[in-house]
Amino acid sequence: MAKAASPKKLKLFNHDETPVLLFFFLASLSVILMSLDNKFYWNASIRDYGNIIHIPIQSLINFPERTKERFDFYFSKQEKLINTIDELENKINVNDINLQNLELLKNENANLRKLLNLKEIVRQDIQIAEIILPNHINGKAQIFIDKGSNQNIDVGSAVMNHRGLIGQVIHVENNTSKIMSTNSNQFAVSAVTNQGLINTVIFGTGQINLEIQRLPMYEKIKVGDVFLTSGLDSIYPKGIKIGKVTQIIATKNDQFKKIIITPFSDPKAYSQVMIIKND
Amino acid sequence: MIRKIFHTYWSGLFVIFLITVFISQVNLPLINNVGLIPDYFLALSVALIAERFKKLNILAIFLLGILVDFLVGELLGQYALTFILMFMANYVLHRFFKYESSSQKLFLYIFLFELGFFTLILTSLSFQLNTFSFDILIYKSLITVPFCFLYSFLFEQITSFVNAK
Repeated sequence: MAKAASPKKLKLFNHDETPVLLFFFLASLSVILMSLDNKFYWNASIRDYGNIIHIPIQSLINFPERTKERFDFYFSKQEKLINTIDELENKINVNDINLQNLELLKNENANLRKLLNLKEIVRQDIQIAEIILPNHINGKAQIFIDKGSNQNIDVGSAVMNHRGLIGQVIHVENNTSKIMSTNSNQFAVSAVTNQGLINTVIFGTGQINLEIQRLPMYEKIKVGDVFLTSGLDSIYPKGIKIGKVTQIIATKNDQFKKIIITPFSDPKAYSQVMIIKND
Repeated sequence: MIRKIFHTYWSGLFVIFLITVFISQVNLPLINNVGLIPDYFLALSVALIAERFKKLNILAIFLLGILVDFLVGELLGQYALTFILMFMANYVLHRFFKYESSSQKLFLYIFLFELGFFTLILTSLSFQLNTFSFDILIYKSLITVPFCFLYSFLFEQITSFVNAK
């Protein structure tokens, strides 16, 4: 004879305490927290106090690379060092010659500005910083540098290297700062072509390339044209290289075209960056 | 040593959490693309929720999410919302199905991970539909799901250590 199944096993629905009500409460709370955080930046300010956790992790992650650098420095061959010094001296000489030309151009520019009654370009201070690890946090790309508020780095300062624009400082802690790279899809910069003919805004896409979303059809642009910062946004000084046009795409709207720009600088390829501080 | 660390459920979970915080910021060897780095915290939460470790309730999962938001999150409440959504999905799924074999667990892990991943990208400040690539979703799933199994294995080990005491 078949054994009668216990009534407990036959129950289709349990009447235990369900987390549904608490779920709706917590989900609403999360959404409220997200909105408030987006408005008041609570998370960023709380993280400033979280250095007790971050600093040891950063030191630990950077330890192997720093040790390698120190070993390389101390055990470099004398001949290699002499060659490096020679190369650097040659570079300094070339730069000195270029600087003389620049001084001449600067004076000419100042005179022309006086004649045209234009404002003087703002003078910038430059500070050198090094990119440190981690270069990602939980799978999201990040750029950190080893200078912070103790070294007078401010939020909003432009960051570049010898190749061109890298991005902007978006968060500053005591001894580190976070940079938003030009590739970020929240990035935008006012730009001008090297001939000075087209003034526009370039946007990051979250991918390798940058883009101009809508450029009027009448603007004459070709593949290979170089874009520089125009300085109109008062954030990035005028004349920093951004990238070159690699693709011109027709859009659904025949009044506009989309321009794809490949940036000159890749922050991952170089360890040193320059922070430009506005006066 | 391991016995000492895994002396209680909570000390074991704490150690695993600390290790996760550390590895979430370290490069994987031979992998340069950030898109190919697993979301360790999603993997940890999937394993925690699916294995119902120590029968953690929704409030504990929510608080864990808030802690993750402080450490690696973009917005306060983003991981918290993701984790409680995964918790509820797991709760509903366990009402109707059993997940005992490894293939059933694999299905559960993939389902919870995809739900979590979509919640994270949809609540992200930097999400743009026109630039979203489904390749990233596939790569992330392929890389993160094995970590779910690893975490679940660790939780089983903790449980067996504590029970064997």
